[in-house]
Amino acid sequence: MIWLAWRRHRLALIVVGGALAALALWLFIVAHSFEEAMHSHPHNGCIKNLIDCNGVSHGVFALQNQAGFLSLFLFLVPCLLGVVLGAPLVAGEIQQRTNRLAWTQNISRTRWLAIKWLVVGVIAMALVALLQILVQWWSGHVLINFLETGSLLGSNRITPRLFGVTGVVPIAYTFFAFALGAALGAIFRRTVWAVVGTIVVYGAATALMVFNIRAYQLSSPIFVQQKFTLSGPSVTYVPQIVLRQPAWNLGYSFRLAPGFSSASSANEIAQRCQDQNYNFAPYLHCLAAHHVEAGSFFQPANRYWQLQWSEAAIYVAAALVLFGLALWAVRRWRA
Amino acid sequence: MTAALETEGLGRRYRRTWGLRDCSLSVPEGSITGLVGPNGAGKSTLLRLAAGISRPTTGSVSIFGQEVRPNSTAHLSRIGYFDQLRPLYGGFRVDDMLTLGRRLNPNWDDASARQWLDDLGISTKDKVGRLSLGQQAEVALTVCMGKRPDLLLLDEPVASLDPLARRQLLQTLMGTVAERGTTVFLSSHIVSELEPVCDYLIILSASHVQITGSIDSLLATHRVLVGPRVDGPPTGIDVISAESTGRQTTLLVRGDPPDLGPDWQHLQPGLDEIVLAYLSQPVTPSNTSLIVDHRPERGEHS
Repeated sequence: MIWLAWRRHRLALIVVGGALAALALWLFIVAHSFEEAMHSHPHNGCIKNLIDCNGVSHGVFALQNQAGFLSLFLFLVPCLLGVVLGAPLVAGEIQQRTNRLAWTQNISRTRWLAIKWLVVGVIAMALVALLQILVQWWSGHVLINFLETGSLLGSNRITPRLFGVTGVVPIAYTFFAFALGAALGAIFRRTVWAVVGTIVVYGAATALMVFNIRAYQLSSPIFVQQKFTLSGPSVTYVPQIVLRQPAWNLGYSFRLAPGFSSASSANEIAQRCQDQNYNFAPYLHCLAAHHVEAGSFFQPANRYWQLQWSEAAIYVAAALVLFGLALWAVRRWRA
Repeated sequence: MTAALETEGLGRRYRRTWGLRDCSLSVPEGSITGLVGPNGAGKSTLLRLAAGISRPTTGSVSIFGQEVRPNSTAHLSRIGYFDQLRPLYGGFRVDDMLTLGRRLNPNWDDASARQWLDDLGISTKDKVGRLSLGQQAEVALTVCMGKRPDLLLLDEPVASLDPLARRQLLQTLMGTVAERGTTVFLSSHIVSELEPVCDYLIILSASHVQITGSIDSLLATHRVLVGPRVDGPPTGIDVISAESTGRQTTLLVRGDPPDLGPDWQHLQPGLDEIVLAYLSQPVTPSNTSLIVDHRPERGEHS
């Protein structure tokens, strides 16, 4: 059955492998050119500060754009693999009726699906893992260097743009997207529907993970309160809220001061205070009266690996649940 | 003797319509049984249920006395199933199809499968997708035979073949089957195709079994009576079909026909006539017969 799984899906796997190899090559070329420019350029101070020194750093700006595109492509890789390898895994067989051939050989449907799923899923993950080795080197040498000095992609690797394409999470995303495609294909029995479903569900899951689970649930974010002093109608405050370490800034928000509780959330109270008070000073008085603190939430960069592993574990667990769903659909399906 | 295939009150409902209903039959071990019926009669449904690809809505199927349960695998080593659509992996070479059979079936007989293909003139190097429909059917049948099944379930095995290839394939098939003592259950909508190879016949129409029996007994128990025109079926006879034209009435009857008089001629019907008579019957549980009246002048009189 391992032979059949490989023989049946090898074309798709080879095409995917080739596409990822092309992406890796591009990644390597950009990184290599960049390193070269950084080290050999007589005006590398200009480059580091991203200042156009009379045209000498134009080449580097072009590389910077390519790096931006690359990180976008890397972001899409897991979902694409889910669409190309996962969605047709069962749906393709049912549409071509070849499941009727396979299910009347001397093999149970459970074994048939489990082996197909494992062979294709593990190869997909292995391909992405290989790519990740290069990405890790790339992000370490190129992006992070750049980011410490300037702002290639806005911030460091804890920020969503880099977090999702580095470390171990892309491998887990791939496993999840593949399992999602396979399960939806087994349920819908149409590749096209499975493709659409995979894109929609994967997108929604990513949004939920990034903006809710990773930001607030896996590890409580650090809150930095906005300091201000109120004396009657005049307010003194520092507009910039900073954490003195590299971090992902989750944005301006509110919380109830520690030790206080309320039926409404801090954000609701803040909204009410804002509605009632047009001016800034009474608004701040209102917040203080309700023990609501304004400030920003941060996920510091030193939680990178902790968040990476927790998130990967969640995606792998979800993939296993989706396998159960696919198995249920395959065992239930009657032609 | 145990039955190779036995169904009990078997039914399968698709969303709103029944594909097969209340089907109870038994296929004796070692027999070659033909399943005839028009398109949509439930032949493919019955075969898919027997192969365990589909599952019954009502009733049960057993293969060699063992019930085919949801996701059971016990029957899989004993059957060879040929789907009407002949699904094959188009990108595979013929060789790969044989490897598939060998890897998934412990009893796989590689030598005879290759011999089969050789006899049929198919090269194992060819891509399955590039073969003609007839050759694809032959490859699919080779995979069925290579399993060394005890029961072959063939759904329209020769439908896409030209008459010469049909005869060749059926001959090769029947030769191997006779040698191994395999039970064969095959469907077709062409009676003349089944008559020379089958021992038993099952007539299926509109999701119901109309009649089952050995071909010899079907031929022996049916008679065609031709005589002067009568309106309405004569009493005391099991009339399967009746046709009246002008002054003459033709009846197809089951059982020993009584003497209706010297004007009546008794004839031996062909198998296809018997099948056609059953197929044109309306579906009623009591098997009551129907008078089919073709009167060309009818329109002018009214």
